[in-house]
Amino acid sequence: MVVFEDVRKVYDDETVAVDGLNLTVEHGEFMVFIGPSGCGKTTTLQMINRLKEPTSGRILIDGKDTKDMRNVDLRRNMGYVIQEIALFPHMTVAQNICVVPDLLGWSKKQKETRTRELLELVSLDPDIYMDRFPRELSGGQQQRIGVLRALAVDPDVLLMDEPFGGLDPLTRDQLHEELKALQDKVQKTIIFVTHDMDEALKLADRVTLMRDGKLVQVDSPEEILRNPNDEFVADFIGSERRLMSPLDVLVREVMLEDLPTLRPDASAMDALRLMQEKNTDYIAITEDETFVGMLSAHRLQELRLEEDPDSRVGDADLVTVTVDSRQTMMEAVHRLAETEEHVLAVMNRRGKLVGAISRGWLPDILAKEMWPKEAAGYEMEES
Amino acid sequence: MFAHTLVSALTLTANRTFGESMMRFFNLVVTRQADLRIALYEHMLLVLIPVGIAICIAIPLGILATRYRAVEIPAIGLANVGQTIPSLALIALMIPLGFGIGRRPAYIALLIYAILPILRNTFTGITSVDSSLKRAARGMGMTDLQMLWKVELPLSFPVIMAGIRTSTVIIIGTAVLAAYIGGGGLGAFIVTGLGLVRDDLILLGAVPSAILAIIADFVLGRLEEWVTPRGLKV
Repeated sequence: MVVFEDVRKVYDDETVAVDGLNLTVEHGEFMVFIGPSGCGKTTTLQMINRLKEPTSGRILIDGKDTKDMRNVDLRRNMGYVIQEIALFPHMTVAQNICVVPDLLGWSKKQKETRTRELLELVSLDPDIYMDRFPRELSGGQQQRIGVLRALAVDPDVLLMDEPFGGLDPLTRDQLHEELKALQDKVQKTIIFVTHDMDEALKLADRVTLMRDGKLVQVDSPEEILRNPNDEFVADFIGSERRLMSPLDVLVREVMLEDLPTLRPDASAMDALRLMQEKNTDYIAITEDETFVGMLSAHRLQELRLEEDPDSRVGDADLVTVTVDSRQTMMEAVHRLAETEEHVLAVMNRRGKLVGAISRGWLPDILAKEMWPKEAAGYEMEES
Repeated sequence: MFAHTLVSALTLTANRTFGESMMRFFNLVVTRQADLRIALYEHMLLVLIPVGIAICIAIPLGILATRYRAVEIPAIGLANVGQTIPSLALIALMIPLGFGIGRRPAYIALLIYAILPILRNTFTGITSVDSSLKRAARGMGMTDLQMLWKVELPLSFPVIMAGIRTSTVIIIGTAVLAAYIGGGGLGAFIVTGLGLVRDDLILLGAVPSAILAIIADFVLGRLEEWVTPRGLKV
C-alpha cells in the first residue's frame, strides 16, 4: 500500500510540480496516473522511490515513511520501469535481469533459477535469450526484459513510467495484454504513468487524473468515462470515448452481485424455494468458498422434482461457463449466445466467484446503461 | 613536429638523391646499432613513464570531474590550457621553471601533455553515458560507486582507451623534442643530424619514431576493440 500525505514538490525555480497530494494506492491495485505533460505525474512517481524528494509531506509504504529508509534499500525493494527501457547494453539479458539480485548478493544458482523462472513467465525461452545482448532484441522484447528486471526480487511495488510509450502500437497492445496477465499472476501494487487515455482505461483498476500538480479525479476507468468530474476531464477523455455502447461496459460494472448461494449437497427443493424467495432464476453452488457451478432455473426443471423430490442440487447439470469480471458485456453476451446457457458465472482475476450475468437480466442492464437516469427512476418506483 | 623534421630533411637532401640518403641511413642503422638500441629504449621510457603516470592521474581526475563541478572546471580548464602551449615551448619552459635539464624535466613536460586526451576522454566518456541508463541504475538502488563501476566505466571504457591511444601516439612524436633539453631518446639523433647537416642521422631518429607511433597506434587500437564490451559491438 502506498499512501501520499499532503505531498508537495516545488522545484528550485519555484515551479510547483505537485501540490498537496493525498492519495492511497491499495495493495495489489493497478493505479494509473494520467494527465497532460507537466501535470506532475512523473514527479509523483519519482518521489515514491526518492529519485526526487518531496518538498513537504510524507509518502508511506505499508505504513513506513520512505524518508526513514535508506534510499538504496527503498529502491531495491521496488521495481522501476522507464520509457527509455534502459537495459544496460554491455550486459546480457540474464545479467540485466539480475542487476538488483546482484546488488543484494544472491548466489549464482539463485540468480539463474530466478532468471529462468521470469523469462518463462513472458514466454521467452531462457536457453535462447539468457545470453543475448539487448541490441539483439526487438523493442518489445527489450521492454519485456525491462519489466522482468523490475520484478527480479519480487518487489511489492512496481513503478512504471510510460513504459510502453516508445513502442509501436501493435507491440504496445501485446505488452498490455501480457502485463495484465502478468499482474493476474504476480499481484503487485502497480503505479503506472502515461499520457495515453486508451492505455489508462485498458489497464487501470483506478485512474488518477492530474492537472497542474493537483488531483482532478480518482476513479475506476468506467466511472471516469461515465461521470467525468469537469470539463477538463471530459476533454481529456475525448468525446468519442464517452459515447460508449452499453456493450462496452465491463462485466464487473453491471453484474449481479450478492448471489444466492447453496452447497452441492443442498436439496433441490430448497433451491427452488430460494429462487422463488429471492425472485431469481439462478443460484451459485459453492463448496468451501470454491465455485462449483451455477444452477439455473432451467436446469433445476430438468431434475423433475415431482418424480424425485430428494434430488440434490449437485445432481443437476450445473453451468460452469465463466467470464472474467474485466471483460466487456459484449464478450459476455457473446459467451451466452455461443454456449446457449442462461447464466454465466463472473470470476475476478484471482479466480474467485464475484457475480453473475443472467439472460433474464440482460435487458435491464442494457437499459440502465443506455438511459441511466430513467432506469434509476424506474428502480425507485419499483421499490 | 614531423613536418618540421621532414622539411629539414628535404632541404638537406635537395642536392642529393633520396636513394643515396636511404643507403646512408641503412648503413647507419647497422653501424650505430648499439646507439639506436639505447635511444629506442630511452624513447620508450620517455613515452611509457609520462603516459603511465598520466593514466593514473587523468582517469581518477576525469571521474571526479564528472562528480564535482568544483573539480570539473579547473581540471578540464587547466588541461585545455596545457594543450594550447606549443610542445616545443612547453619543453623549453622546463628550464626557466627551474626543473633544469635532463630526463626529469622531459618526463614532467611530456606528462603535462599526455594528461589532456585521457582526462578529456574519461570525462566525456562518462558524461555521455545515456542519462536514462543512469536513472535506471539509480532507480534500481545502485550507490554512486556501484553505478560508476557497473555501468559508467564499462560503457565509457572504449572512449577512455581511445584517449590513452591518442595520448601515446602524440607523446611518441613529442618525445623527440625532449632531446633539446637533454632528455635523450630518438630525438637526439635528429638534433645532432640537424646540427651536423646530416640527413642520414635525421632519418635515424625520424624513421624509428614514426614506426614506433604506427605500431603503438595499431596495438592500442586492437586493445581498444578488445576492451569494448561485447554487447556494444555491432
